[in-house]
Amino acid sequence: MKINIGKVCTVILLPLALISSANASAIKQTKGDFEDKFRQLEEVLPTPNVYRNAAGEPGENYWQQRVDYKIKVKLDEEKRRLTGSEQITYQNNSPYRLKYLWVQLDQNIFKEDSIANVANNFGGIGRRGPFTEAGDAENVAKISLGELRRQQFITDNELGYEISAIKDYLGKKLKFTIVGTQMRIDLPKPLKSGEQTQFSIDFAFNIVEEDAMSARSGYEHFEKDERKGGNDIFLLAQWFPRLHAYTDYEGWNNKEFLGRGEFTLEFGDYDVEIDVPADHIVSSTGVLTNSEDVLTSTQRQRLEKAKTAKRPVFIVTEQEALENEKKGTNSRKTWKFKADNVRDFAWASSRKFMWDAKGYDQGGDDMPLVMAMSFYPKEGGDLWKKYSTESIIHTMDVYSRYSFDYPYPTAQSVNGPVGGMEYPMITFNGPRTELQDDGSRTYSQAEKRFLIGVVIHEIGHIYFPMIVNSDERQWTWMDEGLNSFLDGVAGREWDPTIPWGVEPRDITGYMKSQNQVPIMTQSDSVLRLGPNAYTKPAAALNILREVILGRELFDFAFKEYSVRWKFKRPTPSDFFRTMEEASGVDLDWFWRGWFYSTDHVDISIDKVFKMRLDTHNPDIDFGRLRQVELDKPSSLFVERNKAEGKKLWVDINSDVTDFYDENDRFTVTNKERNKYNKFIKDLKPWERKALDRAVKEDKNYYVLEFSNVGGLVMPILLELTYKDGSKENQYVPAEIWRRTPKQVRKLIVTEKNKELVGVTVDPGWETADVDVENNHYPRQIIPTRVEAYKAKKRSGKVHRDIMQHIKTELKTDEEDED
Amino acid sequence: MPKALSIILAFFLLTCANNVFAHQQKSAETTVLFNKQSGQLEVSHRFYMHDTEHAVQTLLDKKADIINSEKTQQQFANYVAKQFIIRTSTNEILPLSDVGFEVEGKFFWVYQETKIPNKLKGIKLFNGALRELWPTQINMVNIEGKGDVRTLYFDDNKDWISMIF
Repeated sequence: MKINIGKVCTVILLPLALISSANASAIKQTKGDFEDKFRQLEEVLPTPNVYRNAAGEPGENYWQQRVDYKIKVKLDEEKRRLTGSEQITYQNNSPYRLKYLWVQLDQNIFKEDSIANVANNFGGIGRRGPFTEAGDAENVAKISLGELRRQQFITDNELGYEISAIKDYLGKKLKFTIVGTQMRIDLPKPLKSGEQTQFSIDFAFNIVEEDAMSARSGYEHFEKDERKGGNDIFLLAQWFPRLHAYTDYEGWNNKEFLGRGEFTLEFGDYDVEIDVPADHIVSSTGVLTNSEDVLTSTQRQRLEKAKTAKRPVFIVTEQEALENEKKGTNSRKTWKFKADNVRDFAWASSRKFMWDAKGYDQGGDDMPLVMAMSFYPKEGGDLWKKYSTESIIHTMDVYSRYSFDYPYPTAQSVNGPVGGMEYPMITFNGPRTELQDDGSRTYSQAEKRFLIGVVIHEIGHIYFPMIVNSDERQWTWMDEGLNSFLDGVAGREWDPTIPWGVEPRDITGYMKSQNQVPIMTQSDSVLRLGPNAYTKPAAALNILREVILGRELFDFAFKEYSVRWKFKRPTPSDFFRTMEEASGVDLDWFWRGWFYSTDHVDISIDKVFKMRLDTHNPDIDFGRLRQVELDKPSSLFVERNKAEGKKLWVDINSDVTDFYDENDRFTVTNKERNKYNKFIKDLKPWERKALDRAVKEDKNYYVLEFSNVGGLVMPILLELTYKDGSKENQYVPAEIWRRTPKQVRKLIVTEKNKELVGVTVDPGWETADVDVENNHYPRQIIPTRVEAYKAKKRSGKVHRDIMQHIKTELKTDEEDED
Repeated sequence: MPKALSIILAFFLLTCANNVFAHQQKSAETTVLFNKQSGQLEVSHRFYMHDTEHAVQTLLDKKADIINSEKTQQQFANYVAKQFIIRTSTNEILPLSDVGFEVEGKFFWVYQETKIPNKLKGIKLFNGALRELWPTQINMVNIEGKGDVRTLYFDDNKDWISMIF
């Protein structure tokens, strides 16, 4: 029997499709096509409870776990291998008992059998190499050298964690099960609510070469350095097995590490001992507690001096770093760091580092003095000397105003192979100088902007999400969107001539495009992470602040959110709820439109009607009607007859006239006057007063018709242009769309002498309206981008033949009169 | 060697994740506009200045400075023109003429145009700009002026993408 597979599939799939659409919403609009763009968001947000309340605050019984780490780790520079042992104290603050704990093993993403890897195999080799000839796209792609480098690296190195022992506090082995990038540790007895347990993990792994792998950390090799065999910079992050988050909203966050969705972790205290070659300089999360063992007395004095210095002070100068990187040593030193209340721990180590520092006198009670410090090789050069540490301080200065005082004792920027990445108290930033043939080091303007911009962005991340601990694995926008918004604020306070931040107009191309997903999409499923999780939310917050709430309300609410969730774990609903209830403005429509949908902004002004109030007084109204009739163009037929000189009967027979030759159809009689008098008499006193006044003022009434082409409801920003040349701006709140989201009308009343001649919607491009052509009434011919460019080129004065014109002699007045 | 290849893919994923941390976006937007008024097919490419800054140092030479050198800007515009090809649905190349380029804030724009041919039933597009440099480069193309906006993504290993009107 022949089976029609296509049909079978249809039969199976159809019921599923029906079920899923039935689940989509319990509320159904089955008559007409009304869509409630203002529908309350509560029914979409998780139900408030004792852990997270309806105001977006941590609830009365809010809890989060706590994990403290004591780690000893050794860096084998030769083998580029890390070996460590960690002692973990897990405090169960949840109301539940835990029979097992889940640990994140991020290094395992490099293993052959990781889900990221195996899932990707399905699509075959999804990579392309360079074309042999530029533009000849039909040639088969070839493997790039970069790809060969990756392949060779993988063949030469065993990657992923080697877990050698997991023991409880008595030294008894614990059973563990590795599931991809996760590991379950079975506890000997369930950990009750409020109790803590201790266990240890011995681990090791081979460090990846960052340039070959484009990971978030790794080593970078400098083979041209004078030292035999060259030098490395080591950036270590995701380097120790870290406890998974266990939360009130999700339980264990068992979301496999697929590479894109970053991390969410628990806060805790860290004591970390880092054993490195004795000539290395180490930068790390936390505070150095044994400076007398690892720093010279000169270096310690310099650090002291840096606390109150106006400009960064070198702890390790360039000259010292250059000398250092020429040699090498077999002896070792152990750097000890302590970090309190952090959600992660990262560090960097190299003999190439110079080190500068400057104290930031923040004031306040939390952390009056913060040490801003930068670590960079000679390749960072003047660019780093001048701007890295200063950018750190500028970031804290600005971010603290919008959130809270920087709560940690150090804030660091380290130059290495990673373009930009953040951890508590430490960030990795990539920009560098270029070595020129004459031995000097220079950098472009763009590299300078990049350095300042990336330091601001990454230091900004110490606030979001390192302190306001949102779940990056699920919601990239919660840290990247908020941080991109704030780095724009900080950038514009650095130097507004540098194009920082996100303007609403920057996102229109993306917002009108197809194949989008809502911002509220899990990080690993987002189709284009850049515009989706960075630019669009940043633009949305910018619009919320500048257009919808105003700076005062927005800044108050944003700060409230930051303070509420400082050292806690907010979810998207906590952000939405806080912004709404702290500003006092119903923003459900805004979150629905910008965060839960793929609508875009495109509001069109379709028509403008002018109206005049009927006075009901026949002596006024009939005269106006006569004028309306006279203002109409006369009949072409009659005009042509006139032109041909046609004689009219009435003219030829002018002796025959009657009453109607003197009185037209607009002649008022007492019949109408009596009717009017009765109408006036029957009016209640307040009605008569209102009418009298309106007649006297004789205002202009205009009805403006708008349609919502893009679907996203937004306030309508109006610019009204009057006949006398004056302009006026009006703000129509988004609520106008509430009952008719596709079309609305707005009545505009103006003084008698203010006659409207033109209307423009969003003249300042503040709302990300994707089509400005329909923003004008009457319609204007808006040049396309290419047309505008061509016109600009013409007016650029480059077409004048100045070489010829410069020969022109200046004429005197007399000559002019000739 | 299936093992090695499969592991590369894992790193490729990390590359995806990595390159959006910094301000280098590795994404460009192109608008292909059928301008009914003028009968012209207008192409505007929008690149992040920062992406172009890094790109020219690989494409041209290490010292290339797209912010300050008009020559570098011209060279980059020429490169973009070579990487963007439109064919008709019957496979004939539509020769695009260069209109110019400009810097606007954080963006670098490149403009091209051609006359809309009669009886055009569809187009095939290729947009390879910067994708040979960076495997994670994504070029989005919005096609406008032919009803609803339609969007094509050039990423991964996509070469030619066809669109029927």
